[in-house]
Amino acid sequence: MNKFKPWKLLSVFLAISAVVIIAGIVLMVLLGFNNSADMPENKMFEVKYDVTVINDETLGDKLQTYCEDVFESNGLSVLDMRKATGADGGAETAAFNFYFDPDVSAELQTKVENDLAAKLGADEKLKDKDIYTAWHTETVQSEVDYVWRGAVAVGIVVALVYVGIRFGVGSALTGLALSVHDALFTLAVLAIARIPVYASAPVWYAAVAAFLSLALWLIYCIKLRALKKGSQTPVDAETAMETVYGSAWKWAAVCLGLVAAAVLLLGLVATAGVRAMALPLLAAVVAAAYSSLILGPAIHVYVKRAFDKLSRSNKIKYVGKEKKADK
Amino acid sequence: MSKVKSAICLTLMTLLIAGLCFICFLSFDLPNGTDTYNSILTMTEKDADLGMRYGGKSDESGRYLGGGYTAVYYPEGVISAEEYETSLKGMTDEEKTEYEEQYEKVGDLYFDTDKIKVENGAPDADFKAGFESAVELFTARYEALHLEDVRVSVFDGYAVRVFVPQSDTAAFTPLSYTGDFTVKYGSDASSAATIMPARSTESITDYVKGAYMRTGADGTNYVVVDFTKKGREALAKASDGAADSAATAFFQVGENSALQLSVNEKIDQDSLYISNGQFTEISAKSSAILIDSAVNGAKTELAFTVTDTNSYHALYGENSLLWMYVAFGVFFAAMLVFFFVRYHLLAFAHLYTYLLFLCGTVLCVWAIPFLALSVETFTAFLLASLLLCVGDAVTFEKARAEYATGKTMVSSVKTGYSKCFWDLFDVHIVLALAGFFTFFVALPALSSFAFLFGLTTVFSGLGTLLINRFNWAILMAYTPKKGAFCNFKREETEDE
Repeated sequence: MNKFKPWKLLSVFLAISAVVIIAGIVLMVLLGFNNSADMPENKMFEVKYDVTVINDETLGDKLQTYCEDVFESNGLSVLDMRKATGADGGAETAAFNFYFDPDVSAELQTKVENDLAAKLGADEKLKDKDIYTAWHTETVQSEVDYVWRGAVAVGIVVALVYVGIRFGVGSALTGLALSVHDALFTLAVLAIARIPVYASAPVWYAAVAAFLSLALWLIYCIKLRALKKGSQTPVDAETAMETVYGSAWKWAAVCLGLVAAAVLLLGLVATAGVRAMALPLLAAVVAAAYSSLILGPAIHVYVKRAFDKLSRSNKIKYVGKEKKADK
Repeated sequence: MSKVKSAICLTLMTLLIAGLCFICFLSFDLPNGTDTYNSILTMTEKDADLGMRYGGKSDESGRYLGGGYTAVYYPEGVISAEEYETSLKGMTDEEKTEYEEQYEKVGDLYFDTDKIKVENGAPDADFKAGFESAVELFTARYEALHLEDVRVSVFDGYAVRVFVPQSDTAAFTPLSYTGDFTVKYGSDASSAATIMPARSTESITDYVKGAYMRTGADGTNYVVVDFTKKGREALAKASDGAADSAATAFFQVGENSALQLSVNEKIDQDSLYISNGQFTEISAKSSAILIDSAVNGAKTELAFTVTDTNSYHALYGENSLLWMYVAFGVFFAAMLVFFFVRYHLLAFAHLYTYLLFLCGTVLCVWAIPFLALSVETFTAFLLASLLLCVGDAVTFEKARAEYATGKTMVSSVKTGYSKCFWDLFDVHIVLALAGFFTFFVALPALSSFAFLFGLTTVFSGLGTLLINRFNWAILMAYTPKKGAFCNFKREETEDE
């Protein structure tokens, strides 16, 4: 692995990041995210009944089965089904709300209602019961909470102040660049791949990416600090990164593997709703993997080189002043 | 550590962990057959997507029901198809004809043509504009609640449907009020004089700057109304004789009462803190948002009625919480397999540390009011769990490396810890800082994720750097073969 030196190809990696992030921003502006997980526009078929009239749970289940049979026979696929209970004019009611794409035609809506009425009419136990059915349309209003967007930045900047104190300003700057990159890269991947997400979730994914990026960058910081402490003479940027890259890369890869496994576990051993929330987190893992294994070390070689140069020039000036004073 | 001290510590630690696990995770029916002992985890608030806010309120079969409430705001003169059909059922033929002539169907709704002009199956432009403003107003109001999972939608074209998490229904009615904000002062609402009016010549913003909610140190919730100089003077003038004859200040939005304040002394201040003694956080916040949006928000001429309040079960699916527990079970089992295979009996040190970390987290999520079990907080917990596992594994590996060079176990542990202490310390501090500072700025879902990530990172740091080492010390005191106990081996050299 040591043979691979990502800093030799920094311009290529920066170009890749720029293309992905710019394309993502353009798509975010033009199309936004794919919020289909939230069903922002939907048709909802409501089947409501009085629970004091239909008080047998098996009849409720039967009613649900009839509905599902009717949808299937009419080629309708249910996006989601939610059970509701309420009080309607004093009567306790229960309802099945079936959600569909918004393009269900008026003819199909009528046919579904008629087919269900026919099925209920043929059932001895349900035919005389007062079961209300109706189609509804719903358009969710977008959430705009601008404060969310700045929150992660504040957290990361404060954490990086500590990194700057403990590991040097150069390391903090690289960490800042990587955190911002990963947050944007994650949002871009979600926008470009049109991954279905809940409306409020993208900022959360970006936050996880930024935190993950920070944690993985600390592995490099720790290794570089150990190298600096262990060497008698200053080590130039490229040699330092070349020395620590192999072991830091392995640690970062192990941590990323563990996080990816945890996300997959949460997403796969789950109901559809939790899956839709958890699996897009893999975009954050991908972004963190790209930045911690490739981009971070590449950027830091140049950042460290610049800071080393600055440090050397400061030292030379200082020595000059001392000589002058001696005279 | 001597064997006696170690035995005492180990016994106490085991009892502590057993006790914590008992109260945190075990729920069972009591022998009387009617009551149930609920664990902390059962009583922990659950996100609306996963389950009821209080897990104890499950159905008869013990499943979490979860979800939240919806209500539909219908503009005055608009009714649902269900209400229309229900009304028709009890009418005579003559009444039916009259009713049918009065109402016209627009999409899935029925419009009272005496109140709203309907042309070619659509309401007139004024109604449409008023409805658009109302949607903007309601969206802004519900967003200002900063509640996780709140959702506002346009329903059937010309109604508004709102969703709030379980037990937060106090917002439904006040947030539906529309109209101008006025302040009246007098002995009763009908005869009270308007002291801060909404006239064509002056705006209510000439009197009132806005309103917000604050919670006092004693937990009392207040609605704070900020007045302009003119507003302050108007209220001071009106309440000048309050010490002699008590009166009431009525804060109204349209014809509805937003707040009432009994006045028995002159009020002369820029900000008025109002509490009725029964305000919950949500009801106080709703009143404040209502006043603030009536002063500074979008305006609409339409009035709304709240109907069709329904309670919904877990939105992510009824068994979503159960599957999350299963996912955690798989994680826990995988963790144990790794630690027991790699470190043999030393894995008990990590197990004890992890169980303390787990119980501590559960207790915090239960006890801290703004935290709830959700996908976000569960993810934060999983990430911090990984951090703890990696931290413990790093300390074990450092000690293993030292032991391999021929050092004693005590020296290996000491040197191993000293070599990685500051590295682990820095990682935990940086992540905890990032989590806590994000929490200070962020709103609902992200803030609870960030806070729990920060908190569990602190627990992970304490666990790795202090508790795990302590557990290691008390567990190792018994075994004569310390290397075998930890599955540590000496390096083989050619001489041997």
